[in-house]
Amino acid sequence: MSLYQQLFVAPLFFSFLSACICAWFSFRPSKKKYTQAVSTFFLFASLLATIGSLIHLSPEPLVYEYGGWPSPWGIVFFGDVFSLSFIFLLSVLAIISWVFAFVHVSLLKQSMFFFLLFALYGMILTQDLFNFYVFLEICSIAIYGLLFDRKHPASAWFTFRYLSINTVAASFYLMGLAFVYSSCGSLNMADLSTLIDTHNLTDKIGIFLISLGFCIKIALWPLHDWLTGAYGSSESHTTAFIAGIVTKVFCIFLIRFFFSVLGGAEYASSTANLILIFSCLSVIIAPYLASKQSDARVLLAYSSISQIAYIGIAVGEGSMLAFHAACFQIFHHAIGKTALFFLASVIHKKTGTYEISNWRYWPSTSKWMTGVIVLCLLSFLGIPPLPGFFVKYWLFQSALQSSHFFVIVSITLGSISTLLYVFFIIEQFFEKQDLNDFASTSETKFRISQKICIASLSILMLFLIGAYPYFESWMKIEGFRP
Amino acid sequence: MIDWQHFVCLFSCPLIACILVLIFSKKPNLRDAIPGMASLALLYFLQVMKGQLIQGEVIHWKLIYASNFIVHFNVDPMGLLFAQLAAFLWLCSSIYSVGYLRGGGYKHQTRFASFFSLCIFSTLGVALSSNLITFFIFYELLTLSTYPLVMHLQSQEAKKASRQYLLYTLGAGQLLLIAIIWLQQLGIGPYFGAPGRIYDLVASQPVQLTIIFMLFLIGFGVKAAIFPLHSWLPSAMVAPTPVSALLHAVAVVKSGVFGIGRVMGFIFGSYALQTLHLDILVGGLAAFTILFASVRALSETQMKKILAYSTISQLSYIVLGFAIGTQLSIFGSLFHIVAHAFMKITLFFCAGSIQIQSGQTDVTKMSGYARQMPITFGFFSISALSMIGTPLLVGFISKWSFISGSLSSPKHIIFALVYIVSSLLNIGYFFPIIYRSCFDQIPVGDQIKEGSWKLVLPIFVTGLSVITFGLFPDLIFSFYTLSLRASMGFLS
Repeated sequence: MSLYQQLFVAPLFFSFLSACICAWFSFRPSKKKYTQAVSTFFLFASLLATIGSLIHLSPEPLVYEYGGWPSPWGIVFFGDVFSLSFIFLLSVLAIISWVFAFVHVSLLKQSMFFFLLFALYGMILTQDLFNFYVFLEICSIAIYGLLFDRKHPASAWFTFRYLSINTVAASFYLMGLAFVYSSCGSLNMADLSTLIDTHNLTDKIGIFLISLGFCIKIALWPLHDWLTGAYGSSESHTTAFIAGIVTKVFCIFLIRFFFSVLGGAEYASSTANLILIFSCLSVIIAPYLASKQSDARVLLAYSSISQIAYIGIAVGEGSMLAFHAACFQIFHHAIGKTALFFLASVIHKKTGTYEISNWRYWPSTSKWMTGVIVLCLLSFLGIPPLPGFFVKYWLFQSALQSSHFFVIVSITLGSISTLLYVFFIIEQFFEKQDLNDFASTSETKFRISQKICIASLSILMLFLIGAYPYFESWMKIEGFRP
Repeated sequence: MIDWQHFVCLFSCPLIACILVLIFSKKPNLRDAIPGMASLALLYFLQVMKGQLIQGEVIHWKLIYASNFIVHFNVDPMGLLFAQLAAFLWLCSSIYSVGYLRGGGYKHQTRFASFFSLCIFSTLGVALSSNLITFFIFYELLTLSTYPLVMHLQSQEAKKASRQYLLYTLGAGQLLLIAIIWLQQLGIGPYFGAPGRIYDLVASQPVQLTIIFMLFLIGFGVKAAIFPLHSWLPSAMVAPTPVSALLHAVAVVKSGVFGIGRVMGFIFGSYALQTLHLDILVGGLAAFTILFASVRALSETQMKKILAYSTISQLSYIVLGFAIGTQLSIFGSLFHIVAHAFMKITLFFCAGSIQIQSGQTDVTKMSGYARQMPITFGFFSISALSMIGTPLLVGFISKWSFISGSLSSPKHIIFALVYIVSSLLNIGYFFPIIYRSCFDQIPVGDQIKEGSWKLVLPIFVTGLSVITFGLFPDLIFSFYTLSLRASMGFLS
């Protein structure tokens, strides 16, 4: 096995190493400078490793057998176009969030960040469903550590609720695994895709429980309450990374499970239809709830729920077009939502609150950052030719092909209710400004690193527009039977 | 020039203007001169293009070509007609808006000018797109770039109007998208003028085609202000007058009408429409809108509201012309896009001038103003007369074609009556204004005078165009030839 073929698991190793180093040195804060340098090096090394393995990716997917144990018995990491593309996205967003926020937090939180990163890399790469469960739990605990904020007593309750509900979700997943394992005798994804029988009742229950767990994890309405609470009570520069990528990784699993393991939604029609229906409801209801919020963080959390529900619709649709829509939506929403949470934290530093009415100071603070906000929001709304439009375009095509007219109706209604919160925010830019009041609090200047982070996110967003024509031929998944 | 260079030159004019306006926001004089210069450049490039088109060259530019998503521009007579119109009136209104905004002491002039240029950019895209998807992109962009202009005053009323505007137009945009994708699924389009399988589908899928057409009608009908989707237009009059003049009388609403024309003429064709009896449906709706809006205009006293309702009824003239479907009536519709633009922009310019000079917006209180503002009211009267359809003025040409077009189609003879009744109603709401301003006594203490040259010159130019194009409809821009050619290009 050549080095290039093993390169794709390097991020996993690097992030674990950084996490351990940060945790070790958290007792010696004076050494923070050195650990920061090492961590930064590892982050960039992960990105380079990902790019390297993407460049050398042949049609045959890369396989790494942990400890040399072959596939059905040992744990196997799997690098195909699908997973490596998202590893790339994750690495880029990790670097940006590191530069923007996590460089400045305490060493213990930094170690939590790297543990989270480790878990996310693992969840994308692993081929073993039980190994996935281990990463899932590491992820929950790391997020708990990141969101918990000693200074805000409210966050204790909300983060605890986050942890407990996520544990419930993970338990559903574990129960589902038990059912699947009892009938198939394997937990390897490639193995399962041939063994699983979607007409068998035991397997059906297993699939249902796994899906239920993930519907809680991706916060479909009406199982969303924990998410808005947790995001709404913590600092938004740390939330940015979590909102941007963590829920997407769960979506990536759902996509892999439904498209690759089950081989398309029609093989699991009852569960897929349930996901489809609840996603349709989320798409309509969540944006409406968002438009009623006054706290920017909660508003953005509701917006996340509605945007992720588009991925749910795609999973429920289960066609090739829907698969592309889901993948594109993950890219577009991860980038856009991270940017918006960063911007929310910037204006919070300046004005001291997260009130959405404070966003009226944006035009006088920074013109181009206002532009970035508008860009992201309009993309969520699905204005052509921004990335969000293509997602809708694919979904409409897929729904018309399968004659799912209620999907068309709900996406249309969803767009109209998205209009409510998008222009609720944009209207703030036209509000009258009390500049005297603002001048006293605007002492803090932007750091240049913050500017670079936000600018690079918006460039990535624009880059997605150009990537659209190549996306259909680029993005593939193993095992999908259209 | 190579084809793509043509298009890059065209699109860069308003786009560069928009960027330069933002850069020179601190130097008001330079900033305000930029849109005018850009529009002159744009007019020049369009003239070059027109020369090539008339010689029979095909000019097109494929920008993006992905499996189902095609961004492709193309010059045809109908598009060029609209593009030239927008470019020429941009020149007039860019001068006018400087006079208006400075005279009225408006804030945020940089934002105004930059978004105004962006609107022209999107209008250009709408005019030159060769397929429905490209059309849709620019159609939505047009909606969004008008939003800050409707919101310009930042008052509570402006907020309400802009919300209504967005809800109507973006909501309709969704239906449009569904219709476009649905058509693709049936194997039609997205190119304009590719008859494709429509003839087979009329027989095999009449219900689906009817639903798709209805979606298109709602999607474009919002901007074309067809009853009952018209109510955003009178509310959007809260925007500064140059916005109402160029956008709500020319660019935005005309792009809706333009879209209806494209879909009826270049996607469905008159055979499909008549077999499915959609021509009667559209014609009936348009006829009702014409009469309804004219009657509503009678009961209004606010100048801009009257003009808004007049716009609604005039837009439906065009839609009705498309629905009748004879070559004469289609020619009338296309020419009326131009004719109505000149008349209505003059009327709006006059209304804005009066408002800036006297602060008066109520038509019942404009007694005797004509004697103090002779140029403004002179051109106001000429445009009103043209609106009614007086011979030798530009409105006469299209009205003549409308009426003779509907008389030549036995199924649609009744619609000729609508045009005539509407003309009478036009007299009903325009003549009292003219009469009162000319012959009533001036209230004591009202001292007003003509505005600055920046306000008067555009009125003069557009007002004179109403007369000139009535006498020589083919002058410079070849509006007559282009409409004639475009009407021949409609699928029959």
